[in-house]
Amino acid sequence: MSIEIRDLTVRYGRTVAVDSVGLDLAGGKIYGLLGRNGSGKTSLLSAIASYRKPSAGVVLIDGEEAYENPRVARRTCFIRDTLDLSDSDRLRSALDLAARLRPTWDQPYAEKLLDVFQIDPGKRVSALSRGQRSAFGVVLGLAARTPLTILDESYLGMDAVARTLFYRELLADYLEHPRTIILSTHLIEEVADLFERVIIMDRGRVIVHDETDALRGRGVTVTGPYEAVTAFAAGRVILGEQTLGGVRAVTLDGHVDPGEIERGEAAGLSFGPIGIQDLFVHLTSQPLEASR
Amino acid sequence: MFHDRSPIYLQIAEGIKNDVLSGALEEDEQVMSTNQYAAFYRINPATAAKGFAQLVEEGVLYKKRGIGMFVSPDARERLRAERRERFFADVVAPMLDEAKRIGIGVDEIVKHLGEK
Amino acid sequence: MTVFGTLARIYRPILLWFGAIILAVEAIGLVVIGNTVGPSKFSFWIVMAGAALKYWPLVAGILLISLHLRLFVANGVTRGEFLGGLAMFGVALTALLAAVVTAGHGVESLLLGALDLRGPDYPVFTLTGAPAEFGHLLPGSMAYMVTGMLVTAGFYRFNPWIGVLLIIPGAIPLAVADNLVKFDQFGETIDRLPYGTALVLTLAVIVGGFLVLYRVMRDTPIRRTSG
Repeated sequence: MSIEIRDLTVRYGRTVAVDSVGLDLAGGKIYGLLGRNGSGKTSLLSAIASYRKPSAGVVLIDGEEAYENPRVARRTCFIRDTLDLSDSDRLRSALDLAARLRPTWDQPYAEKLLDVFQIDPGKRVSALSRGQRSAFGVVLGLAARTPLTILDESYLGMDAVARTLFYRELLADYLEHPRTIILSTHLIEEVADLFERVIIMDRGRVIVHDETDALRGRGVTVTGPYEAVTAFAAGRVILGEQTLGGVRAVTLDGHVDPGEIERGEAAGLSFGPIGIQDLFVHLTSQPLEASR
Repeated sequence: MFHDRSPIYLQIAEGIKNDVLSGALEEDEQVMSTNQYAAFYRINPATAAKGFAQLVEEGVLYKKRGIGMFVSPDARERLRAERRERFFADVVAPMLDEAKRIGIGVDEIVKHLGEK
Repeated sequence: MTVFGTLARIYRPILLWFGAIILAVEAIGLVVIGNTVGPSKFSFWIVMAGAALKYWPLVAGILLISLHLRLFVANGVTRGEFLGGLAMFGVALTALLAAVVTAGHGVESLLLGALDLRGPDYPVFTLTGAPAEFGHLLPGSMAYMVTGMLVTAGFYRFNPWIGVLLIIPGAIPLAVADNLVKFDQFGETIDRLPYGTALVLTLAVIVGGFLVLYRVMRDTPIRRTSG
């Protein structure tokens, strides 16, 4: 399902969590939503899923206003890190409820996922470990098979094995049943390969929305004699820098032409690529570094 | 498998080209579908599709409608010619630069290669 | 219909357990009264089941807002749809309970009569009096349920301070019903106003309370579970 977000603002009292965000998300893709704690990820997702009414602006899903819209609600599934379940309930009854209320629910697939994650549906929600709780959220989210599936930090407390299983199941099910999936995460490196597009939030605003592949190789580090580096960096966006003695290292945003790299190398500079994780760290901590 | 310091679609294209050059992929042999490829390497299918599209555009692969993608009959020849052309610029030139920097003469290199 | 059916399914086992407990207490109560006091001057059933008829829907109203709304929204049901189903469920639940309490009074009355344990003041059950009894019990039950929902909604939607303040207006349906319609263990009703007027007034407050609930809850954020 396609999502159009127009001037969306989410406020808590005087705190602005989402600050007039505009975003167009085409349907049928896997999106990664990245951002530091408190950057507004969960608030944005809550508004998309109509868990919270926008303070201003509007969310359109497949062209229809999403808030309190039964057609949209039926086709949207939002799994939060806390899970919206009663602690005293048995997992079985949570699954029954989903099966009753969700027209797209796939019970055999849910059973298969419980098996994969080795979760006993006879247990009570309160008896689950943090990781199992998250895994059960993944079961509810994927087996709902909704055209719009939103998973907010669904890996919390999962060990490396469980996370690998999660990513594998997510991709396999997406390949079989393509749909719009939004996944918010801090663990960029281990999931970035699954995202077709990446959205980065910082202090309530969307600062990047691009193809994931376009972020790989965006940005370079340049190291060398202080003057030479300074001259090369002039006029470019500096994301971060370090100086040790007469040596300066800067991280630059954007692409550098091969020709420029050649000339730079001739001038004694060395160039290195930066990964998505590093790019993310630099982009979202920029003002801190700039003020130093 | 893949690193995130350059676009994955380029890495995919490069990998398949290497397989064609080494003979791991025969000419007119069918390659994996984008979905198979995505599932195998755990990457987004759109990224895989972009890598394959790049190869079709470069003429390394060709499409048979409704069946899949195949290695072009002349792919190996063309890739080899291309790589040979780049060999001196991409491999030999940097080596000579480095040799110059550390004071190794051309005759010394030729001698070393002759011993191999 | 789905919301109504699902709520009915969720509450059925709870209701059955609760009913069994009430029946057990009633049986013990009657045996104790019969063996100690002798013929009963009042209906023990109305004391107990009549109280349950109010407090049980009150508690259900609290749970439905604080617990069940979230479960339904998480499964693709809008707040509006939930509240609509909730209204139907509330009417059906309180009507069922009021009918059970009325019928239970009939059974108790018959049983005590057969055992010659009816005291002179015992409110004898008659088939002709049954509709009036039901008519006095039902609005009270509904009013308590709406109050449970309204008070919880104040805390759910707003911060605790506003929630505390909203307890007072939230309790209006309960207060109105308690003062206008009632059927007690001595078979007495309140006659401040003619029954018709009292009923209309009480129902108006109940419906009004529900509309306020709808307004408050339609825009509410879905709260996070802390654990």
